[in-house]
Amino acid sequence: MNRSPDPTRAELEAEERLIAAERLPDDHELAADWALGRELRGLDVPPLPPGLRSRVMNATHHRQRPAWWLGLAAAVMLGLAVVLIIEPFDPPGESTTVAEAELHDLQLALASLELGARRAGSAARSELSRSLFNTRIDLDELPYASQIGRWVQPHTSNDHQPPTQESQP
Amino acid sequence: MKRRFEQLVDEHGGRLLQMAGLLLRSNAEAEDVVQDSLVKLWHHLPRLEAGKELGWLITCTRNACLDQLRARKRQRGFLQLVAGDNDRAGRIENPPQHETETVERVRRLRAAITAMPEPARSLLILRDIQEVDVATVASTLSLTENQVKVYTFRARRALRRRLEEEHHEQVA
Repeated sequence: MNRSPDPTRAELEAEERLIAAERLPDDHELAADWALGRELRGLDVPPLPPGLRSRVMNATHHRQRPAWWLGLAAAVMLGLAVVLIIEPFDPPGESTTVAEAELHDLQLALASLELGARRAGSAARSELSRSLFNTRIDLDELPYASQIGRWVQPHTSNDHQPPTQESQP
Repeated sequence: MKRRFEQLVDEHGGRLLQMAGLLLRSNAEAEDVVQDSLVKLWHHLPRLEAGKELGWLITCTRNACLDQLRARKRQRGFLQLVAGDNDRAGRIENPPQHETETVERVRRLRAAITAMPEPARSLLILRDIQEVDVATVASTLSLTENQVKVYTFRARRALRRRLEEEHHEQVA
């Protein structure tokens, strides 16, 4: 008994012939399909209208702005902390005499100041790293990037790595 | 990240707008849908694998269009119920009337495509008009690659029959 050819298989083969065909196929039906396909390909894809493009850019950049300012504030804090830590303390001139108890108090005050500055520096560094990650701003886009780069870089690369798996809408 | 986003917007924005326009038959609604999809892309971009962006964008835009069409259908049913006015509910934007023969042919093609059922319509838009590769279309529409080929073949042939029938009616 003769079996009729599987229509799905025949359609698949026909489509594959159409995909591969560079000129009009000999078969009349396929030739008409091929011609329609070419006509459809001729419907040019228009560019995105400039108005819509700018609306998209505004919508995405608008959400970025507040966090950008947070990053800037964190950068200023970090700068201040750095200055406090690295600024050498000049002792008073030779003529000044300081009592032992006063010297002890002074050393205690300086130690407290240094500890506070280090904590402020650490907090500012972590805040800035978080802000940079959340806002997706490159460090290079911040003011004084070269000065603060060595403080921030280890945190952005290790602590806040975004997930890499694909997400579907 | 910002540069990558801008590049994707410029590369695929027009394609998405064309697809949404053909699905929704309304330029204003199509622009809104595409804007939403691109803003969503901005938020998802850090988690998207490179090279998967087009598939993601097509899925997102097509789903939004189909949701909108379903909502429109519900609204149409409600309006018909309340006012008994078919025309009011089904109103779509009309293209300009001053058209040359070629433009008229393009308009008929577009109208015939938009009248096709899903997924034939999406297949014609993605495979034949926009020439998106079979693998991307298959993953976007949750089909196998062979199904994409067979269904595209059937959709194109159905479109051709429809256009031929229209032509015969006009001649008659």
